[in-house]
Amino acid sequence: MAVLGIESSAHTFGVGVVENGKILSNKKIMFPISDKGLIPSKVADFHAINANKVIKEAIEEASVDIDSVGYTKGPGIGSCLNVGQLAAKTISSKYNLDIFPVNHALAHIEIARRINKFSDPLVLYVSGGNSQILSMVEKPFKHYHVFGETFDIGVGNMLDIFARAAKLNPAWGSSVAKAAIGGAYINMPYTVKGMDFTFTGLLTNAITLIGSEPMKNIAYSLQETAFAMLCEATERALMLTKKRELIICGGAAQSSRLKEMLIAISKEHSIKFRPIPDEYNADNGAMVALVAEEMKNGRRYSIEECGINQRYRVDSIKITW
Amino acid sequence: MKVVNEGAEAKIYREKLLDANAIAKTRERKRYRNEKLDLYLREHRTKNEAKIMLYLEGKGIPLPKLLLVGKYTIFMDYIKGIRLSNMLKEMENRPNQENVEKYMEETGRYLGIMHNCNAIHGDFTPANLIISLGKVYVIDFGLSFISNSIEDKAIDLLLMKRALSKKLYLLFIDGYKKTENESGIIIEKLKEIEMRGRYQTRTLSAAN
Repeated sequence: MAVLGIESSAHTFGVGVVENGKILSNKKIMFPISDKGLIPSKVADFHAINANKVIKEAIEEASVDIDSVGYTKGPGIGSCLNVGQLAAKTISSKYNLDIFPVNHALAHIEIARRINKFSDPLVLYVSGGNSQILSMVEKPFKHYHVFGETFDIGVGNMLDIFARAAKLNPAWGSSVAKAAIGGAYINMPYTVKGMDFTFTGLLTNAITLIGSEPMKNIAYSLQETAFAMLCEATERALMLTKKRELIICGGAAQSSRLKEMLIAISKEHSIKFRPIPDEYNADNGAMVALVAEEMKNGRRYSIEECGINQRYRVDSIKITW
Repeated sequence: MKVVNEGAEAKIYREKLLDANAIAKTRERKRYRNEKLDLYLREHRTKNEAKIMLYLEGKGIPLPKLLLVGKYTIFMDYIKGIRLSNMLKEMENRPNQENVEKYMEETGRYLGIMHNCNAIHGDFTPANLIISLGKVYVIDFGLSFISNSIEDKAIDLLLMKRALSKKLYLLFIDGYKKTENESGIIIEKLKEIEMRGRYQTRTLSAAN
């Protein structure tokens, strides 16, 4: 029996169907990025309007019997998470399906790990709201331990804010990448503390340079500095944990420059690294369904105990597989 | 030359320097990053590390003696001993607490001295402490810097707190209080940092 997964933590409303680890459908719709970023109530309205259509498309394309539904419990934007939660609860009670609350970060990690067929990778999870370096540890319970993470904002969010300040259109990371083509490097604040890092000093510096330096130089240097910070922390974690596999996941994992830098690191240390297709790194429903399917082997959840948690930490979850 | 350790930042080679046992810490080219940034980081960090090591000499903290500094390489004394991180790992298998406990107060005192002269270690973890001939040596000043910020000092403590059991951490803090005059407000700051939403539930380090 198949599992339906609903993702709605940020700008994307995604629905996927999975059976025995195989992705049967993966449909999504994304809130159009404006120069104002994500306004929580507007994004939630957008999701509510489109929910029905996307769910229907995913179910029709998969055309299998479904016995469970998973949804994103967090972390994410509260009003957006609520739409997914409500949709899952409605489907669960109407069709009498089992319901599973899924951690968003865990879903990103697990889909990348499964597509790569890795058993014990080091993970660089980079998205709008999050930037973490994780790996599975057994103690005090089996979980993804956070070895390093951002002390302020996620790398995706940082690039988005810069894109808005620089009036790039659409205002997000890939526009910064486009603007960076042919740029020359100028020194910018570089902050790595062990395996943790901070981005706001770098962001402020880049924003103050707008107007006084050519845009391509600022965009190039901002991207290059931020990614080098992530890579240094990742390399340090690789050395410390001695892991032989590396995955990158999350929305910012779509960046080709970041992937290129990690390929260089993985070659130097002979570490297995194969970035997965962008479709599965961007927020999607299939990743939620994959984790929910795994949770079917554990306990059942009542509708009442299913909620949302905007700050749901991945390292608080006991891994049962 | 034999590579004894390979970190993310530098490779460590065993060397002989005028018959003395030495190590050479070399920051090699990182091909993943922009060349200008790479040159800047390697040169700046080598210079900075040497400067801090010189600054801390004679202040009562056992650390490797600086022998020679090149553009990307630092030669220093070879400290023969066992890393505190390895001792902690062994302890998990054969609980012999006392062995490690007796070094905690001393370790705390050394960090206190550093902070009292506004030197932040930047990576103060058991992997960067070597027990040699019954003494604790502080090593790897690659991420160190000079700062009088209470927050910077508190973050040094946070790294140790994450790596140690509660009992060991308290012994460590006892030593720290003896040498750091502002330990009170630094420990208060640490509480505040730990309360910041994102990190409240971050699990303790399992790797150090």
